[in-house]
Amino acid sequence: MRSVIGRLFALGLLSIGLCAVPTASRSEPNRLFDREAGRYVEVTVVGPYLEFHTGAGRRYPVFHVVPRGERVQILFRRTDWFKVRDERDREGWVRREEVEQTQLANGESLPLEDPDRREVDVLPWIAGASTGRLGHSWNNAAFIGYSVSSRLTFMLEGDQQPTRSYDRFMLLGGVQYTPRPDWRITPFLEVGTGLARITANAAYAGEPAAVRRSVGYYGAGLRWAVSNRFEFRLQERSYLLSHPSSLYTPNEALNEWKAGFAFYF
Amino acid sequence: MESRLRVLLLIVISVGLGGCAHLPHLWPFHRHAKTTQAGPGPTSATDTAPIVEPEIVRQQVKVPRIRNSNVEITASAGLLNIEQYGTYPTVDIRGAYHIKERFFAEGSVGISKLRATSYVDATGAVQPFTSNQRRVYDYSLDLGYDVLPGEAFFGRKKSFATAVYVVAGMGALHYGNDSFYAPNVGIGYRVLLSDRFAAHIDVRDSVTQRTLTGAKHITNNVESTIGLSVYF
Repeated sequence: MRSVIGRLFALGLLSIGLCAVPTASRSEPNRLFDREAGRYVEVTVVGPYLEFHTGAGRRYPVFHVVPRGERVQILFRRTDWFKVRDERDREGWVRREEVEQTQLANGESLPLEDPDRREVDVLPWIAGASTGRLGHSWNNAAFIGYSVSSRLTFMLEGDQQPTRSYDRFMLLGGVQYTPRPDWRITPFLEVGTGLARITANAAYAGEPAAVRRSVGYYGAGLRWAVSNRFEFRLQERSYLLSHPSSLYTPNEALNEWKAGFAFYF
Repeated sequence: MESRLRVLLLIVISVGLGGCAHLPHLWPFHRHAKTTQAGPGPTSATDTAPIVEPEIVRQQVKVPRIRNSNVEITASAGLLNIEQYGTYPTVDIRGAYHIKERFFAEGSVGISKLRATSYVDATGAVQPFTSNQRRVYDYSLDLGYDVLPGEAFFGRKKSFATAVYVVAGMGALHYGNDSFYAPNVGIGYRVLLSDRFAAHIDVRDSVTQRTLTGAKHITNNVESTIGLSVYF
């Protein structure tokens, strides 16, 4: 009787073991790569290989190479570098030129071309900063703009002119026209309006106070496209400030030159 | 006898038809077929068309959007030295946009507070700063460049991508009811702890022109911070 029970027990164990074998093999493909299939772009390497760098830059060392024919997932993008995961769940940074040598499941390649600043449907936004001399003092500006065409951009700008006597803050809105956007160094014209708020500082002799004035401006400048998405700017502006107040330097007209940079996104 | 004759007749007919089949030029309908085959026209296309048309249906692949991660927001804390006024704790918020592999644009705002007697120490004046005047506000708009990308190793198995970067730009400092135009330069060290997080060590010098004691002179205001950043 005991031997019968023992055999049955052994048979039970064996059957459990046999059932467990296919279960173990089913858990094998349950890796990160397969679990997250469909969440990320999955491509097959059709170029000679993909080089995995340790960081998002050419100077970071290559630690792994994915050969032709293997699948990889593209996790996210930082500038021109892509974080990529291979079938063995190794992750590394691959540059855009190599990711272009991959194919989707339908045989098409990913559209990863480097957008140009003139492609306003891809990169409609522009942001940047500039500094220069406004009247007799330095002025800082940060701006953001939206391009409705390669020639026409609507701009919003915040300025601060910190001086010992007063701080002049300006919020400006305007439009910028670039007649030849295809030139690498190209001129532009601008016109706009806004508000100025002038607050008194330590060197001002009277009571601390704030004055508001409306502003109009026009100007011209040069844009130098250093790369597809980055440019330096040099510009000259003329401001007209309404409602001059005797409390502060009664500047009705001010000239400014300034230099800065901008990038497209 | 009759059946043998039938068989013989059938053999003769079959051989004869086979022979005629091998001499197609004798038959007028074949010549007609040949001319229509050689001549141009719509029938030639139907003749050359494949019997079975392959039905090619391209597989529709829904491609998920590749997330961009170019924006970096940093919260940092450290010490700000205002020349002649002393060194004080400061906190900063920075926002950076990574334009190219090694270039980034950055804007930052920071606050700090001077000691109650700092103005007295610096000028010998009897009336110290008020609480509002002791507040220090600063901002800067910079352009940065990763000069030395590299790796840092922690133990035998763990390594992190790092970069030494330099920044330069302009900004302003405001304290003591006074504002100063402040161009700045700096150097920093970034350690990418993960895909989303990075640690920063940063030193920046904001240069201002001040007339505290009557004569104009250049002051260096050095800010040293440690920060943690998140990529979006």
